[in-house]
Amino acid sequence: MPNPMIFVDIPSPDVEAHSQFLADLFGWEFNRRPAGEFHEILPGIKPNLGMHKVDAPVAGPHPRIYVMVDDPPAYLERAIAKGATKLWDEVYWEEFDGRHAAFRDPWGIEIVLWRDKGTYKPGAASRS
Amino acid sequence: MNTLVFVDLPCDDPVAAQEFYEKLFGWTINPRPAGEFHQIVPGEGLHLGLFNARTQPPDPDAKPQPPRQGVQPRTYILVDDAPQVYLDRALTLGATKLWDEGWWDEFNGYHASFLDPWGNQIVMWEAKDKREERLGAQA
Repeated sequence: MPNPMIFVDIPSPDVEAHSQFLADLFGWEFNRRPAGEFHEILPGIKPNLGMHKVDAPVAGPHPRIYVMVDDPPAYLERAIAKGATKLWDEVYWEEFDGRHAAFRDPWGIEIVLWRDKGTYKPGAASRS
Repeated sequence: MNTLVFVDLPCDDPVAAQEFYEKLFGWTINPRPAGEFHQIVPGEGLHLGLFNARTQPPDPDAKPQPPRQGVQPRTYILVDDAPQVYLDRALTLGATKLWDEGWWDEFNGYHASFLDPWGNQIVMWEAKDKREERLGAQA
């Protein structure tokens, strides 16, 4: 009974602008199903994400999305240039032996940039 | 490659949240350390996490946050039974129902949703072909 996570959907009051922000930043592709209401996000490797239309932006504690990148400071700088707010510069997390930086995008979503160590295998079974 | 690798859910009580998700989905959850950050290992696919909403690991300089507001990001879990079965189980564990099982034609799947006791939205998903496979196996 693994019951794995298969998608994450992001709420946004401006689905088109928000999609463009993430497309420009991460190079992700989007399927509009339909445009402005629900956009399927295709990072190139599953799991996919989605974006759904809401009236107001999210605020307060909410689920954080981790995206693996090759250079967290470069992506953080690029996100800030596009209107994001820095949450923290790249630091080391000893418990997980990983380096990360984070930002809040212009619509309130918190994204953690996780440095690719070259050891990640997409689709591999998780291990405790 | 810029891929999604983890999703972490905030909660006021990671120990209680661990118990909730272990009972609901049968996940293995590792306190690292207890009460601060609990690593969720579903056994297949990506890991998730439960983080203390006050201390907010791994934020090195966490600031107080305003109360939750607006619609949450939705975390979808591929379940091995009808989403309604998991929804009913979640409600007995203290979750709040958002919607009963329904059908999404655009994506060919059955789904139901709840807010966990800490306000995180979970959607349970079963694809049409998997349901047919499951029901065929039961027949």
